[in-house]
Amino acid sequence: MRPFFHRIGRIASGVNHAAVTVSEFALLVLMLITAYAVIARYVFHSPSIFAVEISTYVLLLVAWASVGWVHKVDRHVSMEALNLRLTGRWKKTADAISELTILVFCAVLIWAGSNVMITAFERNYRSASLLKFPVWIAYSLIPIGGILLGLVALSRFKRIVLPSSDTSPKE
Amino acid sequence: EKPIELTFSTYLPPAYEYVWKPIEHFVDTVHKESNGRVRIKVFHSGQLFDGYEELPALSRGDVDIVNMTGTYLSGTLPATNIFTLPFLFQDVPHLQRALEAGLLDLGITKELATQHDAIVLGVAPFDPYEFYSRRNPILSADDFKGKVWATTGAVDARAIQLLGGSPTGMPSSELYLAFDRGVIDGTPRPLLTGIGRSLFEVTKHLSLANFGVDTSILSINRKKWESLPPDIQEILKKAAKQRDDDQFARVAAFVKEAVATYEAKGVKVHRIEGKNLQAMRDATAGSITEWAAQVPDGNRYLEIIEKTKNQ
Amino acid sequence: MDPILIFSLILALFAVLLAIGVPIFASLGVSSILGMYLHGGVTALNVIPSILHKGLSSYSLICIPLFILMGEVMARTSIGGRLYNLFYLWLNRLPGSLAIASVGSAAVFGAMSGVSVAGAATIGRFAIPEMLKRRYDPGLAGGSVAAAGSLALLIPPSIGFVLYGEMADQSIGKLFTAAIFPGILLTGLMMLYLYVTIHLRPHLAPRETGKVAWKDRLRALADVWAAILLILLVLGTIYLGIATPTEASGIGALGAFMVAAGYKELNLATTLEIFRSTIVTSGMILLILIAALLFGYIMTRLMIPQMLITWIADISQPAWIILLLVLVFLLIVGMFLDIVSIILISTPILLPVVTALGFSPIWFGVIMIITCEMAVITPPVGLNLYVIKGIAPQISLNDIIRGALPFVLVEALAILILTVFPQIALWLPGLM
Ligand code: NA
Ligand code: NA
Repeated sequence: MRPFFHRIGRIASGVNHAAVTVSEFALLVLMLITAYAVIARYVFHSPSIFAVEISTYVLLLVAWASVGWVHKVDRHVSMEALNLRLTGRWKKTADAISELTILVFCAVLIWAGSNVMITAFERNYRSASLLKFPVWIAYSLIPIGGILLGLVALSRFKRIVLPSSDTSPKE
Repeated sequence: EKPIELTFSTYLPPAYEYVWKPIEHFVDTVHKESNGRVRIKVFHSGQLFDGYEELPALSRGDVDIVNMTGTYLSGTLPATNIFTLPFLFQDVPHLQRALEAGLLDLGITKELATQHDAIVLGVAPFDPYEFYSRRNPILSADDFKGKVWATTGAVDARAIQLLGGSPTGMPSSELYLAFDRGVIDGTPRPLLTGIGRSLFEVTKHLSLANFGVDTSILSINRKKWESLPPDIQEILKKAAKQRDDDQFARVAAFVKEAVATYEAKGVKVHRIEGKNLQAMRDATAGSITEWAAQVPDGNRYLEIIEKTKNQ
Repeated sequence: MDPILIFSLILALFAVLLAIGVPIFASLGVSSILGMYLHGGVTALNVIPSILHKGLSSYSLICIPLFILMGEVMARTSIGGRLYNLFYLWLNRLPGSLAIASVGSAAVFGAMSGVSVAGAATIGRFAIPEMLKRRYDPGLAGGSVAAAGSLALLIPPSIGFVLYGEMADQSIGKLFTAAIFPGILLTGLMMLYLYVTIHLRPHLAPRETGKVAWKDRLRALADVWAAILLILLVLGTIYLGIATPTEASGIGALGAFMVAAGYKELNLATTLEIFRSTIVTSGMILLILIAALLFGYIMTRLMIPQMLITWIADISQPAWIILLLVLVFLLIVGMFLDIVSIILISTPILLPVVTALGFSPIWFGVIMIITCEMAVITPPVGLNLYVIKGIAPQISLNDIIRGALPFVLVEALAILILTVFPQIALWLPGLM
């Protein structure tokens, strides 16, 4: 556990770097599928049966694979009214609570997300289309998103409470 | 004694009267017959869950009662595709006879109970899927060719493919704009969807062929069901039966009304019968065989449907 | 536990978390989690993945990242700059010309897309930097785009009307037609508000005082051909029946890349930056959007809005008081709920009330969509405000809120005008 906590910053950073790349690639795919769907239908008169359904899965990937990175670069929006006025220990406490709140959210995403994913897997839920896409795969993105975001929140929390122990390279 | 509170979730809005009114009556009947011991809280329009999430939500116990649309389950329970197999049911009464002859007892009811903790209380129909087309009427099997069709599930998409059309999956919320902008040429949908989504404004033709008859399956969570006293179970069953009968009667009336509405809105209504209908049946028969091969006891379902046909 | 008590606890926690500076998504998420736990115990939390999944797997949402991608390309290359240079040089005599032009751009965008978030994000991404570059007041720049982005909801095509039409059993075509003049009216009122404000307080929007040479103006005009081409491409695919508005977002994004390539402004580094930046904005927006759904779910489950509406529906007062209460209700509910929930919950109960007062359901549809436009710019759950903060992090959220709130009054004025002159909405569909 110790070495994990020690290296949490680097792990969070590495994993999320990979995830955001996946997310970017998914966005590219989303653009191409959408354009392809139009061209296949309008130019070649043979529309894709799957474009709409696949697009919605790709959108899930775009969203969940990016949530951790967005937090890493500190771009999740928050109200600043009070927070900007806080200084010193108060500011530190507020920031720590903030990361803990995110961790609570992530814990629920991971716990409930896994439950629902496992049920969907065991009961073999599938989409009602020619694709018969296994629903558990789509659900699995929720706990994955929770892990990605949780790792970042954990590393930021560590940096707030133990600023000196930070050995991860400057980000 | 504290009243038993049951939560009912449906993705359908109150504007879809023939589904909604029977639900309202169901809720009132249960309340009255139980002398206020049971109260059912209804969340409509997908306020809590959309159609595809109803079965998972019910089996987890997030809600107690749902009114699932048969084809929405078809990915998970391929047997439920039976309702939209092409041109299988002659009309809605045919579905009713098949249900009474035990169509769901071949496996659907059991699988819902054992695999998904969903106890079926009753089954009621939607009005049949018919063909809407934007420019040219659908009169014969050839008219499907070269057209882009917005489909809902696996079975209707396959049938459209066999008829030579190009299916493209599309949620009904996209239909209006897709027709309006000419993105699609046609779609098979119930008349209810067409009225709800104002399709009469963006299509010129409606061809009645009873392409498929979907169902709404009223179900209750198994654990909840088992926790109820027997007299309450009896009241729920009776009320559910009433809801089914009510909805069958309303659908019959609705179809007449809806056809008149379409005509009044300037849509040309065609009936596909005889040779032309048979040609469509022949062209799509392959999808029925494919289905029967996939589903345990598939052929026994088809036997019941054959036996309950009107001669 | 009593639903009202649970709801009060949710609100209290939400307020505390927001004040501490917890990200919006987590404030919404964790206060909803508290509510679900109090209402149904730990197992009730299993509903969360279902809501998040349902919220995100909607086909019409794919236009959000794709239009943001288009806006990002326009901002990172010279496409957006050229457009604003044109506005700047041609409208130099008009106070606040760039803010007014941004409202106009948002209205044009509204004719392409029905999604309000996409409007704010796409237009804002290139409009705000251009305004800030010319020393516009940050609150004014951010607030006006947050508000004008929501014109996409009112100006057809609009997913809001498709939903309302189904709920209210009304013709979608008539609703779209009814929205045309109100859309123009609201666009005009927003422009007028900016004109008057900046006329009175010129320091909010400095402008070119020197004389602009016609040569420069014409060159600016010649420079924007590609931007015009891009707009025509997206509008063209929609109105010529090549693509749905959802699909048009993919065409728009791809088209923007092609235009940028045509300008020879695209290299690998820029492309990667464009994707990275789009992902950051989209991820932020989508997470808030679904966290707001959790909040909406628990409010609905506790039947808070239903209780409020039923109370309004049951009182007997003069028509104008009831109508006022209905509007105040929509404004308050709109502070906390997403627009889909607003329409789903309130239409079936409010519509009979409003029609009983003698108002047309088509007219009420227009009014309801305008209240939804208010909802997206009122805190604490005001998606467009957060979108602007996401794409322009250098502007403080307080400034954005301050800049956007007057537009709530502008929208209220539009509602007042439409109530006095319902023909503005009803004349055109009456001809159908
Ligand atoms: Na629009
Ligand atoms: Na709001």
